Amino acid sequence: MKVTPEQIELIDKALIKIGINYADIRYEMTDHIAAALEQKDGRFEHHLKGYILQNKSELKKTNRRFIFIAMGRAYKKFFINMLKPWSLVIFAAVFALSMLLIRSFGRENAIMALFYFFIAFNCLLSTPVIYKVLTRKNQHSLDFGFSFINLIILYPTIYMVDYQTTIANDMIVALYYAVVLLISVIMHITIWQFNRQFKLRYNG
Amino acid sequence: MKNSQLYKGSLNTIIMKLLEENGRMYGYEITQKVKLITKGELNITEGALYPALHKLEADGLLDVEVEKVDNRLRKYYKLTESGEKETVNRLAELEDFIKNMQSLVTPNVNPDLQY
Repeated sequence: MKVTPEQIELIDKALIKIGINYADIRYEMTDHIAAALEQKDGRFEHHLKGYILQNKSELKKTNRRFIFIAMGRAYKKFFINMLKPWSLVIFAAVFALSMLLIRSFGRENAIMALFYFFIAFNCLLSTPVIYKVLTRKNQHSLDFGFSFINLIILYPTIYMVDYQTTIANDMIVALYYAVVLLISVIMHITIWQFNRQFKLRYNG
Repeated sequence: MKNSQLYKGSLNTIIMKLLEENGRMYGYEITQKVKLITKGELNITEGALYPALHKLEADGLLDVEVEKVDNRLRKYYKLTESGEKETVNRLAELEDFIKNMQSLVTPNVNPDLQY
């Protein structure tokens, strides 16, 4: 028997129910389960329930492994982008701008300007990602890997605001913001590249 | 999949060999093909197959095409150029491994003179 669109939706919902949230993983698992159930005769819902019950732990394990592989891919791409010449250009530009700000407005004002710029920049660019997480729409497995980078750079940035005004010298402050803003920019460029690839692959 | 490290270690090579022979395949098709060839002896579970496919894709050895088939999206895998080269290497490596294992397990039989 051929699986109908309504039955495909049932498979998708069953996968979400057991915690498989990323769309790309669900597309692939849905096709696998549908192909397996097409070989069986009788009540579809009954077979689906049986399949999910029998393979629940295997599916969850697969989901976790998918996420880790995707995380590896995401970081690999992130580091490849980091090594591109334009990364050096971004780094140099932010460093020069930071130095200019410090020299023009004083270290304390420059640090606050750079800090708020960093926060605003990240909030603005993270909005689509946060929207996807909240609505659970079109989230793909590669999204997971990037959720950590922001947190990793956010904490020391907040923590270092006081330290930078009292102890560090101008050069260290400029270097710090050049590094964190570079990481942030590269992360968002990588997310954008993956989103584009995802759209091309799944939405034609 | 049969609970054996020997099979698990060869899974990538099995996948690559099948893709080399069949051009492009989707996950379920691979599991059924393996079952058919081995007369039901080897059953690859999705828990073993898909992570292996994703890993091969991440390593640049497989390419992916997505198509809408029977009301759902289907992900087809095929070998990339480097995947094709790697398949040749891995198959040669696997053949050597089988030969050596055969020599160790049944030392009296010369694998070269078997057929």
